Amino acid sequence: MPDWNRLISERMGLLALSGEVRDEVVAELATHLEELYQASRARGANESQAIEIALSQTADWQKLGREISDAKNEPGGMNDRSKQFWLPGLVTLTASMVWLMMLQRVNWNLGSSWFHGSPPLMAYLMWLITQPVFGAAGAYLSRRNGGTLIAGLAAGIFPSIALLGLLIFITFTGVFVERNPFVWKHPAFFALVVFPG
Amino acid sequence: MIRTELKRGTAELAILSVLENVPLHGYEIARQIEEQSKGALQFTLAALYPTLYRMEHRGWLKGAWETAANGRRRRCYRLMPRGRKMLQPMREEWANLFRVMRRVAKVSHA
Repeated sequence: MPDWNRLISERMGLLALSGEVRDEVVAELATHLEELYQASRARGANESQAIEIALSQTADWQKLGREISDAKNEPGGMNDRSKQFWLPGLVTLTASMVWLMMLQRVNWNLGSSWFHGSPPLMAYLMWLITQPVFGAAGAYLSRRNGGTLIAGLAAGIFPSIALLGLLIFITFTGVFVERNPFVWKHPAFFALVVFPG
Repeated sequence: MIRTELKRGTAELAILSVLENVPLHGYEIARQIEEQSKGALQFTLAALYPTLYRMEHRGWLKGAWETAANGRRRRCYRLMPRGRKMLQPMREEWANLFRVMRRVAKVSHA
């Protein structure tokens, strides 16, 4: 019986793979050729014919080695979760934050307009009003990358999730690390701002 | 919309389909595809394994060494949830392609 591992190793040369992975690939290809060899023998081929049939599975072993290495080391290893959730989510968060920075630079002095809020409050209000646009963009990016409805929704509300996480972190740090009494003295802040947020 | 990757997905769809209900090793995957296509689709070693490894790398399949009753060790591939999720959209894309080709090129079923 032919030593398939040796025959494959000789033909394919060194793959750009670690020793263990390379050995595993060679062993797997060897089992495939062995099956082919046995099938050919069962159909009546003599030993040399069966070996020849098995080895004719590829005309260029070096090329096969390169293709297998490429497949195992496929670049752009961005998986579906990254493409459908993390990337759209982070793009949405970045765009949303850049938009907030731009709004904060605008002169919101509207004089005798209908709105009497302070300029910073105006900037935040405008930012909040436009958030659905960023959410929709995030959901669109996710869906375009093949994301499910839930992934699209999660990517769309990613800025809210991130900011809520930040708020919770700051609050807990304030309460348990800095011992800031604000939290206990202003429970309405949490009831009306944090939890709805 | 028909994606440009559709053509490249031929082998992937065939592999996902034969693994839908049962885990198989490489040789058996090639044999099943050949048998089910009545010899029209033939996967050589050179065509099969780069595709299998790519699909495994993407998390669509998982290969694991198993020992058969006759003591022979083989690497069997099973469909992962991510691969299963890909199957239906790929089938729909193919159905869409056939629909379009029938309309455009007057291609009909054999």
